[in-house]
Amino acid sequence: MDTAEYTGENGLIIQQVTGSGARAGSVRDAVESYGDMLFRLCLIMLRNYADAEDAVQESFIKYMQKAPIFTDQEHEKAWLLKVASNKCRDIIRYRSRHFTEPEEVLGNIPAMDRESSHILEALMELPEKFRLVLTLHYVEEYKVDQIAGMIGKSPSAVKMRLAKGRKLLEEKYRKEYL
Amino acid sequence: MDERKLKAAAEKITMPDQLKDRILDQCENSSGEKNGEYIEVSGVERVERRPVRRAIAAAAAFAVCAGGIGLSAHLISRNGAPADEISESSEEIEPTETVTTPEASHKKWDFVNNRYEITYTEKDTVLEPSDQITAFLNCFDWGEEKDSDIYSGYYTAFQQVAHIELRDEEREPVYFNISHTVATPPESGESGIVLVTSREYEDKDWSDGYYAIDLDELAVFLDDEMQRQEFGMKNLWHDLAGAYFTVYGGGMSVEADKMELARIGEAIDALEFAPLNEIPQEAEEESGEAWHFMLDPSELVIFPSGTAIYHKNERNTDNSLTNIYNTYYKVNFDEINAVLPPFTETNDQREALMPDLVGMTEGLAEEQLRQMGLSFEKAYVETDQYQPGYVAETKPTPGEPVTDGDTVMIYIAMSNGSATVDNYLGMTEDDAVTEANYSGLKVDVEYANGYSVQGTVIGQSKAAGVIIGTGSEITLTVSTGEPPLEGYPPFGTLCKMGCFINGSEFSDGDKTLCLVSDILSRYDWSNEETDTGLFKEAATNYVVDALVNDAHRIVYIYADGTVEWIETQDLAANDLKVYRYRDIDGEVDDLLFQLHQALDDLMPYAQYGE
Repeated sequence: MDTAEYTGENGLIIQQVTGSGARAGSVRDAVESYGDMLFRLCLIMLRNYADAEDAVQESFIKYMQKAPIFTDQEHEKAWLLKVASNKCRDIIRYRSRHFTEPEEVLGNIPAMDRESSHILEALMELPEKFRLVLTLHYVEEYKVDQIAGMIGKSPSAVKMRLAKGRKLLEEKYRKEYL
Repeated sequence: MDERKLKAAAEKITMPDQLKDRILDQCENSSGEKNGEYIEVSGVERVERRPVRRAIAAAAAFAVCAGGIGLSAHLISRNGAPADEISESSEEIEPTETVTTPEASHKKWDFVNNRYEITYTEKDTVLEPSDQITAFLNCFDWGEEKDSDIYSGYYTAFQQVAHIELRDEEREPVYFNISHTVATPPESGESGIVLVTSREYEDKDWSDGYYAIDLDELAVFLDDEMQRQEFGMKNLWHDLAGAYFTVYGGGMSVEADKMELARIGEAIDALEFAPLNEIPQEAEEESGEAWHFMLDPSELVIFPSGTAIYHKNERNTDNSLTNIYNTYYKVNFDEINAVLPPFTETNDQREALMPDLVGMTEGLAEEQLRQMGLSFEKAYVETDQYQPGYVAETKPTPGEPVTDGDTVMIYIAMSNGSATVDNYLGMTEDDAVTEANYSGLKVDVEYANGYSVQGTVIGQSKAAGVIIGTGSEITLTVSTGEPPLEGYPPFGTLCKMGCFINGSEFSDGDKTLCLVSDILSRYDWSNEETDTGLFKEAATNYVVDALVNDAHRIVYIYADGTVEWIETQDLAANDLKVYRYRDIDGEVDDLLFQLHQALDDLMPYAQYGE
């Protein structure tokens, strides 16, 4: 049985197998380019330093193991964000059964000033679903329909979440930090 | 607050250097060996699988590749191969005697005479003799070919199950795709449908055939999302009886011995709970006390509200857990509880003394009192000491003597101060009232005609997420199950026909769809506008866009409080009849918000897949 003979349109397989060997270099590039972005998202989603590290690490391991073929950098970035946000969801689910206390995470970050940490604290107190869309939209600057594709919701649901999330964030920030 | 500040603040978070190093170390050290392993394992599996099994097993390979889960053991049991030959990845899913072997009657597929070779899916190139794929396809009752005009509308919801490529040396290949959809098209009854697409390369010509086959049958063959949803709890309860696990709940741990566990497993098994097709709304927020069945590495959790979650996990080589999937069930907690061992350690004491129920959930406390033969009354108290929904106080106090037939009081905590209004839409009246009571709200229930099932909450006077003082009143509107009077726009037709809303597909009588119909019907739309603008011009800020399949009816709801109802037999023919209505009371924000909540969590979990 000669697999290669039948690859034709299925060239993907061959590419994947051979492509994976040369993967280490591109993992390095990906970590350099997207590491901060993923860590930021995971920290905001998980409010826990160690969990965020785990989520980022697992995302990159998945990146390496699956070695998907990307059409461009945007695709790669979106893939990583999606995987990481799914990891966060898994961890949050797991946690809902195992009672982890959210911790004070921003103190560990040297560059953090008072105002910024207040904004982020307010953000982190919002429910998960708002945190995710707000971060993707305002921090990573994704458009509504791109986010919709990423999280599997309709664009109007994303719009509603953004509107509601923005309002909640504003209220929380005003109430607690001003 | 300026959103740019948010961005600037978030960008101060950077990845710690040691994490970066750790990831790179791990990736660079393991990349080579992982690849080797992957190729080797596939090779071994291919060689070891028995030919009979392979045909069917390989058709399920799509699921295997995508999910990394083992092949369904049912495949094997059906073919009569011994269970110990199940490939290593499938060991956790036990074959059960509950599987019925599909009868072979129906449209017969015959690829044998074509003498083609067949590949399955893009990722798993396996060549099989064509008689085996024929045998596989002929396991199902395909029935008559369905009307493609109706069925093709469901195309977007299809998930590919298998891609079959037939080819020989002289001819271009022909492809067959087998897909399934969870949505139920009209006239197909309880069946799911499977699409068979064939393609002749030379002609560049697609022809689609639509058949409705019983998803239960297909589920027997496929260990993917669908099987999880379609299979009852039987599998996991069998796991439960056999596996090592600990049980704890009700604030104390119960050490059950093996015999006891087997008895519980069997007893629960007999209850036959059906899995849900979508995540129940309350499951997202569910936490607190529950029965945890540790089925190392998987876990089954049953909350007193009746939500049960089966977390299917896999243990990685480094001993960490990976969550493969979660299955949700709605169970009757009373039934479950009745087969579980009692929480108290000795039977003598509890008949004589008031048990310590403080800190337990309401459901558990009630169950325990019921088991003791005590009747009880409930009241709610405001307190910060206990979480809402937990017992804060009892009369008599724990340890005092009680006798059979006594009535005792239990006081359930509700929150103190401010309360957040939840989304009660779609809940049953009882659940919603209980939830609202926990939050410290006073509930007024009114009944209205609605398309939703009788007893379903179809409206709430305060929007979810709003923070109000405890003791505030909230009015819940509950459906009587009687359809409201038909008027224009005829929103009820949304409920009665399959349609798309913002790209999500709904089938006839879908719960969410009925809720949407109800929400729309509760506003006064009697003001018909004569201005009939073209829908093309206004197709921007709609919220609900429903396309009903028999005749096209498109409903746009705009942020300015108008609704456009467009009817046409043929979109291309431009014979549109457009009706425009305005919401007279101007409660547009409220309407949009309620609609949004009804629609927000309807996406099945599958769509989150990576």
